[in-house]
Amino acid sequence: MHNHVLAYVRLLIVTLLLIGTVLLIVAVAQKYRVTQNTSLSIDYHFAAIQDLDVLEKEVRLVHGIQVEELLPKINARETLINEAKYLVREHLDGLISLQEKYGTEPFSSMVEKLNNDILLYTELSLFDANTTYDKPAADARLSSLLLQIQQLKKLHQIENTKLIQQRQHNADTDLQILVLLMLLAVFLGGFFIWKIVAVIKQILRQQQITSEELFHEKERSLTTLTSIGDAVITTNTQGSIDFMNPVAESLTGWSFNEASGKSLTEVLRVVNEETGQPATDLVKRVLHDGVTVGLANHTVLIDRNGNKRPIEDSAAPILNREGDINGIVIVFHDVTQARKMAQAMTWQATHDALTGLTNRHKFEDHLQELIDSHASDGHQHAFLYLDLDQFKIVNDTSGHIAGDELLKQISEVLKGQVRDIDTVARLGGDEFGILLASCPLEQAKRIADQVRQSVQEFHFVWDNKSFVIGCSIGLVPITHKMNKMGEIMRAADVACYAAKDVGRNRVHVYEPEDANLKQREGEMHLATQINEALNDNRLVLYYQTIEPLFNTGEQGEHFEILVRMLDKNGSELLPMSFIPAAERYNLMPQVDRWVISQALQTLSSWKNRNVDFFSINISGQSLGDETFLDFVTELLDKHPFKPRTICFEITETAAITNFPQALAFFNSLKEKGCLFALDDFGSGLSSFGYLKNMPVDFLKIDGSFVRDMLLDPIDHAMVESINSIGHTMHIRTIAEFVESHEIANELRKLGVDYGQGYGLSRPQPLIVS
Amino acid sequence: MKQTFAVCRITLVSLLLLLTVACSNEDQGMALPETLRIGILPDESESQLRTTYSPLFDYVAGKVGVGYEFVIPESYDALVIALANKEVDLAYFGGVTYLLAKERHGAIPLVMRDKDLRFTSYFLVRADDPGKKISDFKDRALSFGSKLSTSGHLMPRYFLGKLGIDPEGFFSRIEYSGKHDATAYMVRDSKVDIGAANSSIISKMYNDGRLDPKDVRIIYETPPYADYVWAIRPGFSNNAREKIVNAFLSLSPVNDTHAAILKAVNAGGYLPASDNDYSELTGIFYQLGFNE
Repeated sequence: MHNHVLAYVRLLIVTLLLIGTVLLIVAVAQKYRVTQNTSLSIDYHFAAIQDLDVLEKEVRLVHGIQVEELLPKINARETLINEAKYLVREHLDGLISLQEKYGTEPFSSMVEKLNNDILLYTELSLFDANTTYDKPAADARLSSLLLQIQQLKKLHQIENTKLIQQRQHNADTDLQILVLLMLLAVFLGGFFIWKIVAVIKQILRQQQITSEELFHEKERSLTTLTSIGDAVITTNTQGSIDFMNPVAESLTGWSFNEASGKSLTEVLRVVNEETGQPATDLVKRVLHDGVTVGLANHTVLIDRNGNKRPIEDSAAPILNREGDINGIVIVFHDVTQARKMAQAMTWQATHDALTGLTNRHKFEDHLQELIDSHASDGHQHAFLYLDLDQFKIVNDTSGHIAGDELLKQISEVLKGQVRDIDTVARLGGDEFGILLASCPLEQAKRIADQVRQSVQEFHFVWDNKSFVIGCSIGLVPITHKMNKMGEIMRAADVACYAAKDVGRNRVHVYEPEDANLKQREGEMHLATQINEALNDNRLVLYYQTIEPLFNTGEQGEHFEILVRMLDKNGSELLPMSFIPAAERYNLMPQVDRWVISQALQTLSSWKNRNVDFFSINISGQSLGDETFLDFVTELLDKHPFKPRTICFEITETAAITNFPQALAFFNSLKEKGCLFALDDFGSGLSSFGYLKNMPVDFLKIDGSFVRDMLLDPIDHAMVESINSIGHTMHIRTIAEFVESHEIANELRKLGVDYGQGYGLSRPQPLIVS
Repeated sequence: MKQTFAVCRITLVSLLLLLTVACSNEDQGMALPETLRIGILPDESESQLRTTYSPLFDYVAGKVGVGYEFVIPESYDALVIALANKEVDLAYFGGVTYLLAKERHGAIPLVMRDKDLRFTSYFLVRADDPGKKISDFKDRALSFGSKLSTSGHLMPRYFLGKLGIDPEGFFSRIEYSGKHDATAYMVRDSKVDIGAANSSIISKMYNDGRLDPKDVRIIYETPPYADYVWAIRPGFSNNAREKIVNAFLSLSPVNDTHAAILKAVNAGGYLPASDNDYSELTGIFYQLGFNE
């Protein structure tokens, strides 16, 4: 803007200078022209006083000098003088006073005062002193007069010539000046014109640049608008569409040509997703608020063909420089994907990935809703807590994949047994929860039994094996007495346990008033029991020897440390009775720590025994415990054992499930020289590839293969191949469940290194020696 | 910035040039010397010339306030050379010599006699010759005056041409007598049959008896032309020139003394002279190649 003003001012100045120069030239040229055209008159005008006739006779006719009659009628002297003055000044070059008669007063005295104004004054008397006409004298006077007039005329001519020459000279000077000025003007003019042209060009260029910039800007805007993924529509303040980009065309189903000038509400039909009511008129809102407005949530665009599409949009005023609203720009985009994604996210957050059932988190929300609902309007609801009876068997015998598949199929079975308004959730492992909304106890019992029935009737088939699945169900009615989630959950657990306790595959309704159940609830709370046992040191260690099947010349003993729990009555519980519970309640790290420290302490008293190595089981949970490794390291430092006499056993499943932790654990203790064994090897049916990365010393062949290897060729083959793989990788093999000498012999045939089982030796208490 | 400087420079230069032009208009030149050297065209004998011009310059030099001396060269050429050599300051030229002096040496015209504006030449024949007009003198002898004489050669030749006469082809013989009186005498003495001479001189000769109309008569008088001029060599100031001019112009026929002076030079009075007076003559001068 500033530049423009400057440019225009410069243009004005330069133009004025140019005009000034031209005017100057014109002025000089005018003067030159005047000079050229001017010349002086050389006509002479004389007046003869008194006797014109005589003079004319003698002068005018002979010499061609123009003589005029002067004042023949004037008598008054003063008048004459004044008249003469006037005539002389205005008309005459000279006066000739002719004395016609002797005695006439000479005119000279009268015209003395005029002398300065006239070129020639001559008195010409034609009479001598004797008043007689003297011809020679008169001739002489006349000659003199004529000579004077001629001289005068010549002088005039010369002066005139000089003057003309002077003027010519001046004119030449003028011409020189003119030429100079012309040159100057041409130069300056050229300069000015060049300047003007430059300025004009500059202005034009600026305008061009400005328009080019505008053009480019517009191009860029258009390109941007046509390129971006958002749909853009602009309207004027009346809401008539004046621009749409291709995305907007595609989303609305209107082409810009068709939509141009149409009302926005006609083209952009936006309704609420839930109510179906048209959304607020954006144009009105923007015009009213004057600021950017976003659309309400859950808006759906109905295109020209009636297709619905969720969109998100916003509208903003288009302001001009003065800040007035010129129009409105509406930007929107298809949020179908985003909504799907959000839905998926929501779904994932609230559902179990494996079975697609509601997850525990969401389930608890629902449960809370039901609790609140009962509290507010007294509706009766019920909660079923299911535990599959045979899941571990399927999992252990057919692997995780089979277990997962079982869970999926059971989920379908469960869903088939409840109403839509009910919630079926997987609460973890093989435990399921079912919320029966607005369901009185009797009806809930009926449903629970149907569920149990349907699960029982369901046969799970895997690898040509058929499993009969049962489930134990704890039923908890949601009442005003059972109004805390923790209470309800615990009650469900208790009821379920009770169902199992009384023989599985049945439904047990939680009865808060039931004294027996209360009693048994305490007794049966294994976790509590395990905790108590740990606190009361009611765990005991056994060891079972691992016998070399060949004579390798090894002198030392090999054995595995086993743990059992004493109940309050002092009777021993086998590991299978309490380890799963300890695992479920995450008590295994404590159990493992107890076992390790107790075993090391006991074994450190075995001064006379030659122990080659002994095995201690480490659970997957302990591997996941970050402090566990430090604990073991410290313990090893405390006791004077050679680390290579200690072998840590980890089930194949735990090792794979917690692979990074397992590897860290292995590597760290391997540095110290400890040994490692993979327990229950083969049951996981995992790939053997990971073995290469694990610094394992022993493979303990899963007992389920060993036990039946004499009867089942597949099991036999499994044992054989595991042994072969182990040896290929320079890993020694240990067979579990060697329950007979026949098995031991068969193992020897296969070349298995060690055997462990009742057929070889029974577990013995590990006691201080 | 650069362009602004250029404009300023141009303007400045222009103004300086204008000043230079405007300031070159001053009166420069010498004052008159104590003794004015006056050259006179030797169209008559030297003694005659001295007789004729002494009274004039007694008056003029006295009026101007300087002394004078005559320088009377032997030929028309010599007068022009004398002026060029600054041996004369003021000179009385005939038309042709004036033009030569002016053309070659920058002589400036001052005054002329009243009659010089309307000068003529006479063609003279013997009084008893039967010829009535010039064309009757075919194949007879002609004499001009000096070759560089205006009235004795240039203008007669010019007017002969106007009459259709080429002198060299028309006349049997052409003489150059050198002086006007000599031409008259050559006719009178039958040396030639026809002669062209200055009308003023011839009239004077008739008046003072040096020539008798019974011996020589005028057969043709040319139309008037301008001849004779007092010119001054260049280098004198305007003021100096004006003094001389004014002295000449002050001679009045009414005054008896003046009348005698004027009568001696056969003039009614003097008039200021200018180049314009000789413009016609100049044309003829170049036309007939007298400048060479």
